[in-house]
Amino acid sequence: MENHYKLIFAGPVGAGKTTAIRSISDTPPVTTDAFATDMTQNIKETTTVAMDYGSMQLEGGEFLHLYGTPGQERFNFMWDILTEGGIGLILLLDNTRSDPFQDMHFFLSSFKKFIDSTQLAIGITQTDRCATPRIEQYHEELKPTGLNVPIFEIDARQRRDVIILIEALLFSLTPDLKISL
Amino acid sequence: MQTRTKQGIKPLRITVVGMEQRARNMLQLFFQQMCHNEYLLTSEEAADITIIDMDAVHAEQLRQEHESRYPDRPVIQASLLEPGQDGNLFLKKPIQPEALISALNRISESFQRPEQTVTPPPAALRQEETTAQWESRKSVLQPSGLNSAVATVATLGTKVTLTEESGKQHAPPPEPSPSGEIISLFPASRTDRRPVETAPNPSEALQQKEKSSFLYDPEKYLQGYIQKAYRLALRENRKVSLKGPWRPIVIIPETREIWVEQSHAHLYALAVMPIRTKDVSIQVIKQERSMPEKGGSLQSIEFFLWKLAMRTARGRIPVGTDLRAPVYLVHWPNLSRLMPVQNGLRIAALWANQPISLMETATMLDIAPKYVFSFYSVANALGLVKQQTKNSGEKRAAPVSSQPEQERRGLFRKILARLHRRSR
Repeated sequence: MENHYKLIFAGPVGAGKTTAIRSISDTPPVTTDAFATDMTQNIKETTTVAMDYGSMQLEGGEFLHLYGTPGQERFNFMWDILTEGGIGLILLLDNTRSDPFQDMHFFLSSFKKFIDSTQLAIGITQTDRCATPRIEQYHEELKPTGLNVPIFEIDARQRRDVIILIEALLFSLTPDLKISL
Repeated sequence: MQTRTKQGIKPLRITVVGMEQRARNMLQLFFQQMCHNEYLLTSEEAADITIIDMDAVHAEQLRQEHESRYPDRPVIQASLLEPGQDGNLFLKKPIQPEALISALNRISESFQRPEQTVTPPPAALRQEETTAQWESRKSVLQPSGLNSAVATVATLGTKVTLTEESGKQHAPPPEPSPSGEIISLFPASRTDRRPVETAPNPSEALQQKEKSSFLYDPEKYLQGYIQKAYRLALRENRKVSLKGPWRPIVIIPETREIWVEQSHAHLYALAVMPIRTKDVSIQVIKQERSMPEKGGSLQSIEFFLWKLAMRTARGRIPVGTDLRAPVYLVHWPNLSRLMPVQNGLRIAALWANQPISLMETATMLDIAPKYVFSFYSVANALGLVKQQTKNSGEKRAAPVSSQPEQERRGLFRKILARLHRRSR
């Protein structure tokens, strides 16, 4: 029987979850985007209402499923279901939002149980449009939580950027993992 | 022809043909500071050796004219192209300091034959050189004829540039980011994901207790001065200028950026050259002024310092580093935007998780110590690693996983292999 594993992408609307999944998925992601009818339409025309889904087939026929959580808070009830059995959380934060720190704390709080039992890697997007907060400021903001996690600037369209974030997550989960790539 | 002796040594006199003044200045600085005046840049008439830039305009004509004037003088040809069959020593550009020294030593040794024997490296150089590097140099010094030296020198690394400037820019220019920002000082910039070659594995040297071969003092190099200037800029919250044997450098604390006018080639060369404190001045800029729009580049100081430290350290660690003291990561470097260090992600993850010594890190990750040393040195340059004293800090517990350990490790290996397979 094939094993199935999950990697979760979370973050606010427009942070690049769908794009990041598209960057690494074997097939174009299945999205549940709908035309935005609320305030999110100011950010992008469509928004994910249930989840994004992509996958990668691994050696031996196993699958890594890539799930993007809906960005809008009214779909929070989906999050617990999606994270069940996940191997870790990739949190994407949009640096152009009015208060990215608030976004970060919101998602850390929402996914606390999942993060505590797995690991977290944070990707900051849109830094070319808004340079602040700087990465070191995110680390400062995280200090009181006791989390020392990878936080990288990323462009979700760049496969290489998404890969380095996933690699950091996996090595954080198993720091002494021996590899021969 | 001049003969050099170890006692009361006379410098070997070198002239250069086809190089512009700035490249000559760099060579002079290199000879003064890195070679401790064992070599002297001099006029064409007074020289013992000539270096010809074969990429210069009319280089072949210059070479022929030179050889007709000084038929007995050894010539080193420097070029981006492969050597011809004229019997001259050849240095492939960009010239690496070690390759240049090896070539010069080779010629120097030929002056002294047949009584020449291989001697230990000059003390001043030995201090900054790994055992393996010295072994490499020593092999070049073995009296086996000039022809073999051509091959040896030509195959030495070519990472560090001593020449190249202005109209003869052989390296690609810095690449603009999507936003148009110049993101690179050096040609191998953020977009260059190739790990930098580090010094040879120092484990043998460790066994021989030759610690000095893999230690370096950042404060003696441009790296140390930049770090000092950066600390001052942050403390004063004002721009700081750094003057020395380079074009103006300004550090801008508000944006964590650095303004440099120097070419990438010269900064590469400077990275490995000890610089005397008296030649450097660090000053807070009292009056606000904007950076000129042309003639330099502005970039992230984090990116700049990381790369500079990598070039300076070359697999060594700063003096004062305790090989057995546990190291921990203050916070993760922004690795997606920094030049990669081989195994850097793994090392960072380990140090973020628990303090562990440099040597234990190499053992645990099953990697050569040079990679651990490299990562430590560059992260240390940014203040991102610390060594734990006996009673400081505590070990953090590894995250708890619900999956059986072996299954999880197998899965992660598969994911990593999959990601990398698609990357190629």
